[in-house]
Amino acid sequence: MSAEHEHDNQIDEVLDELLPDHARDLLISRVIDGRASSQDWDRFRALAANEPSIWCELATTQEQHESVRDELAGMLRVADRVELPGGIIDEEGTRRRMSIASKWGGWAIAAALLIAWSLGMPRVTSTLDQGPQVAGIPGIGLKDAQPEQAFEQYIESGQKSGKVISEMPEQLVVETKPLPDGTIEVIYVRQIIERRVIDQAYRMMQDETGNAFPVPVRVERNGYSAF
Amino acid sequence: MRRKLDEQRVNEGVVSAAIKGDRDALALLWDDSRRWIGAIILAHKSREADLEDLLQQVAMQICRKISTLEDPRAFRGWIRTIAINIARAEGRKRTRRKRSMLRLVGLEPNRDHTKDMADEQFVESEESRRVYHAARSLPAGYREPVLLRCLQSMSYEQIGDAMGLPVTTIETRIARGRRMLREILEQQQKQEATRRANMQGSAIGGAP
Repeated sequence: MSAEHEHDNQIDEVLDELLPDHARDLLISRVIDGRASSQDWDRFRALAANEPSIWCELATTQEQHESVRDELAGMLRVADRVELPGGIIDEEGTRRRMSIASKWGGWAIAAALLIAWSLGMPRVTSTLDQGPQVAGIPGIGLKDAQPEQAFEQYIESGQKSGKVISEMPEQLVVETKPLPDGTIEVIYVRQIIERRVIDQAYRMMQDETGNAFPVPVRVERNGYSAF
Repeated sequence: MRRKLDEQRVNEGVVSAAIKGDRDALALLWDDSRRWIGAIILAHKSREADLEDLLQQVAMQICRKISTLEDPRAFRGWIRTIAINIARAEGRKRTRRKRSMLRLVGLEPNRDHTKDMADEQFVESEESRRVYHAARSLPAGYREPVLLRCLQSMSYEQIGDAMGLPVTTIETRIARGRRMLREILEQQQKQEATRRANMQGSAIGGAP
């Protein structure tokens, strides 16, 4: 017997003493669940003849049962959106790529790779090769821009096109190191929130060995879903 | 009785096929089971854990481990164990992190889509929410059958099958669970009435 069942049986024993009207509770429950036999109904009516309050108990219990049922039905609608992982789980190649991605950068890189696969990875160098004029600072091409200027151009241009939402206000410090000249080198992560329109969203899951793999997600039409 | 036996054979046949790798059979089983699995998760998860996330994890485990199930008749109990383990083990951190990221950039996550839908499609009063939360406060051994019984598709036999308990025990647990629920709510109502009376009393007493 499991510890869980043992614990519940102990509760049963305590309740045997605390709740002496067990037969009455059973009758009410059977009526609510449509399991009452004709004998049960006879017993119920006989009981009600002496204690009319049992009708009130029946009505209250029925009402509460319906309240829980309605609330539960609303909450469980989410279950209809959850699908089995499907064929993706068996695609060795996908798993291997996701595994590499997860080792290198966790969910962020894995998610980026995933989007890239569905959209086609843009060549990073192509932007640099575009020539001198890029939105942002007139007269300065990305090729000639300082990293900070190029970054600002990327944010500005991205926000205009709707592909970039913003940079996360918090920067994640990975390492700090004192340098010989008395300054401090800080290695940190800047996080950019981007937006993409895709045909299919995937949730990143992990198997028992920690390998990440994508699972298709049905996304609600109203509002954003954190997946 | 005859119909029940037939249903049982069909179900065991579907489970057997799923164990052997038939994905259509597995999809059929999932379709048939996901709501009651959801109810079990609701009975055991922390409030913060996301039902959809947990269901997805259960779906994944089922896909990966169905071939290890030896006895098709043990299917419900087997899934229940998976669902409970996942519901209990789930940390709150991941969901919180994802949501806080969306909030930081001014996008309110669709925090409770079930509630949104419910607001549109169900007559959900504060009262029914209060009753549901009271039901969640029942001891686990009572909470689970009471919630499962609220799913119209779950018979006492099926609940007993999933929980590994005789039907008589399930019947007792449901009857007692309902009684406890009634008493919890009565108690809450009394406390609320006392609180209101005290507030009124102090308002009158405090008036110039």
